[in-house]
Amino acid sequence: MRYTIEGEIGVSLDFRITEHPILEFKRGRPVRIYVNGKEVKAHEGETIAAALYASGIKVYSRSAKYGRPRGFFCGIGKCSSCLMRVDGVPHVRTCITPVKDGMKIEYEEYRGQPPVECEFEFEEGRVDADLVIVGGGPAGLSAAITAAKLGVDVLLVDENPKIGGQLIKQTHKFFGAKSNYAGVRGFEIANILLRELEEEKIKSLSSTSVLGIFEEGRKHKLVAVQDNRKFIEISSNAIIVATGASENYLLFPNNDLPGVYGAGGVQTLMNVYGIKPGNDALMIGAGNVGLIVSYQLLQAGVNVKGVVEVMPKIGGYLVHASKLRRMGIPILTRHTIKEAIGKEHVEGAIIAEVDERGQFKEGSEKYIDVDLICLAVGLTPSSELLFQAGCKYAYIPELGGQVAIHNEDLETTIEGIYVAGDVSGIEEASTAMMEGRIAGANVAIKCGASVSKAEEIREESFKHLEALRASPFSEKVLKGKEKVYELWRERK
Amino acid sequence: MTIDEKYVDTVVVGGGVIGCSIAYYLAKEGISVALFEKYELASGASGANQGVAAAQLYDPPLLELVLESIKLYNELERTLPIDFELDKCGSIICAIEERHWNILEERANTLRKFNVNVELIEGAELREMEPSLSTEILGASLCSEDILVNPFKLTYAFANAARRFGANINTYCTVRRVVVKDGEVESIITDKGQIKTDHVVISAGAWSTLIEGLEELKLPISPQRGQVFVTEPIRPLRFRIILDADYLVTATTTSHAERFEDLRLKRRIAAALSQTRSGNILIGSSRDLAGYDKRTTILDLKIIATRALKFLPFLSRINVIRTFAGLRPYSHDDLPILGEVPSIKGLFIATGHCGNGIALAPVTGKIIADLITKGESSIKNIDRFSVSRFKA
Repeated sequence: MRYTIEGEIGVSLDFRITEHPILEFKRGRPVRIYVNGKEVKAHEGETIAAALYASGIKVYSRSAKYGRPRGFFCGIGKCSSCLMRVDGVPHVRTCITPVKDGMKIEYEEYRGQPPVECEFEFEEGRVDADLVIVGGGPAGLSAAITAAKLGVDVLLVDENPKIGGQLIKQTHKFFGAKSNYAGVRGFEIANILLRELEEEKIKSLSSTSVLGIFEEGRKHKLVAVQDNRKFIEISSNAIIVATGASENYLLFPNNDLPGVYGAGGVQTLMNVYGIKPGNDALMIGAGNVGLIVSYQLLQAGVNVKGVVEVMPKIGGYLVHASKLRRMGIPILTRHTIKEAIGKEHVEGAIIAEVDERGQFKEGSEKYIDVDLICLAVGLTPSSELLFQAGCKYAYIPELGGQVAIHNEDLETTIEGIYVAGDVSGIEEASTAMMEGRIAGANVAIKCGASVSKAEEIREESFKHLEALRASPFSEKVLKGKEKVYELWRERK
Repeated sequence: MTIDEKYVDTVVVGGGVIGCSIAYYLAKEGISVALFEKYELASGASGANQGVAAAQLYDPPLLELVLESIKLYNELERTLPIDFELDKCGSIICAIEERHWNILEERANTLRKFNVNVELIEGAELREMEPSLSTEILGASLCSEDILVNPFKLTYAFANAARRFGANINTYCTVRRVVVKDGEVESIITDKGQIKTDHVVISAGAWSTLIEGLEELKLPISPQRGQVFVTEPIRPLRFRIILDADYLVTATTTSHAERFEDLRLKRRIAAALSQTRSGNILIGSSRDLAGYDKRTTILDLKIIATRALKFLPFLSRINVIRTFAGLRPYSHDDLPILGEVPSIKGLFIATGHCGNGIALAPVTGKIIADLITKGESSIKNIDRFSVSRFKA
């Protein structure tokens, strides 16, 4: 696949997917954007980064110290790899900023030139709600719907242009109980939840980043910025933080080259925006994410050269692994990447076998011709907002990293601040939805809204959660949760 | 770290920039020093400030000390083992209202009498010098000798240099009590053991009053909170330290801030803007008394941001990545407490620097070291900073 770097913009390329076995991509009205003065075609509804990628532009910025190329990585506003100057404003996260006709996008020479022409226009807004939910993924949406149905006045805030979190890019069918969307594809679950959000007339703000949580008398005050320019103050009695997680990096030479992306980021590109991420891919990690995304890459027309897994066993479900094997995709356990090859973009990868101690076996190196390397090596809870709010937290490796200390009811060490989903410990969308329901019901109980009904939902959700965690895959999570609950009991 | 020595000549309590400076100047004179810090070095106010030393903000008697400090910084740049990012960028105090201009003119005359080189610069010329400044700014007083440092690196630079001269720097060790016997310092008790010593220097900033055995001194020190924004790094703009003329009012009005009608002045907020070497812009400043609460507050942050935009309007388009608050040791007459306690031989106090810790760190180290080693300081009338001034 051809890719362009800064100097070659204007070459007419289009990597938008036209045929897909599951998804249909309805593209918005065509618009024109300008990158360093050169016209690039885009569609309404695309983010800047997605539109650039679709045109073959894969370098978005350069590192401050060594000028190394920086590309797309996470696709959901968490990694800051894609910062560009947009209409004069430096350091805009292009992966979550939608295109607008006539938009001027520039490469930043050095860590952001301050804006020169600065019309001093910012807007201010105020919103009040009983409950504010930060993050509109499976946990946040479930919490919002549960609480709203019980009569709580809810506001849902999400920093992405599309609410739905990572569900909107899941094309596989979910497992679990029938009452909890088993057999339904992830993006369809998102649609169901979004429809309920609308039916319940739940207030929501998209493209809005919550920057801080402060104390204001007995209330909480959240500070947020919408569309990079509107300052919003939100007063609330309770907060559910459902900010999800960010993808982990892996250490190897050239791991920062464009072409090395988070598996979830690649999913966003191909399943949300319908853009082919590359021609030949290598997947690092054979957990569920690695296996599922590999299959989805095949559906998007990408040639998956193989999956490597450093552990002696495949981490994900056997059904996902079998699907790949049936397609003839090799899954190599006790193998991992040793180095990415390329100057401005990935041109290949060297993989090698590892021994019992995790050391590379000499002479086992193999060169693979790929232009895409996907990292599916775990997630880290996005706990920053909770740290800032002053919640006590602890490093719990079983839960993926620093986690706000919370109890079974998902309340943190600050009264009225709850967690749900991956931010409370890395798990799955199905458990995230249950945690969302529990947190939502708990807030309803605290607010005194339909208490008996809320208690019923809470108990029922606890049972579902227990059932979902009954598999041996959940042992680690349960151990981590037990540690967190213990810390909560000792919090004083 | 364990304490292997049972006796040291001098114990320094507190590993902020003041304590580390004292340890450095003492160790350099060959004195055996042990410093004790209950957390990490620079974990209090020294790690939560803007790193400014601006002589033109001060009046005598502090002015003399700050001028001496700036002189010492220029030497320390060559002698300390760590580059503490000394930036001789100068400072401007900006007039945004007509009344400010009169104040600046008056101050310039006073400062010149003390050989401080200040220039008054008006509108157009000022904007040529500082193109990022708002057109609302009427003029400014410029002092080219004023400096900026990285306060973390400065603290570590002092500590490392002190170590090289043999000082024993201990972190995560709390000094619980100073033991006084027959009017003389005898030892200190830490959570890891007791050490005999001849001299104890209390330089624990806002936490100095928590040490047992000092109750009779009734140190008039309270924690004073200062809140600061940190922006994302942007290209170094090489602007001077930008100070609001109202800073001259907010810096020293703890006792009577309440009389102001303007909420901003009541909250003691004035703009103070500087850029670190890594490109982040630091936006202050506020001063309030909230006990040991180190959180930032939405009320003050909003006022700080609104005020800062009046000076550097482009900040409206720059992302803030963090806010922090530091707890400064506010002494109840805005002046530091320096020197030996008259009633207890061997007990020295070096705290109460308010928001002037960076401006006073080198000179404080030198004064205390001189008092311990020579019994006198080259700074005249050092007695005026003695704790005894608070006794009725």
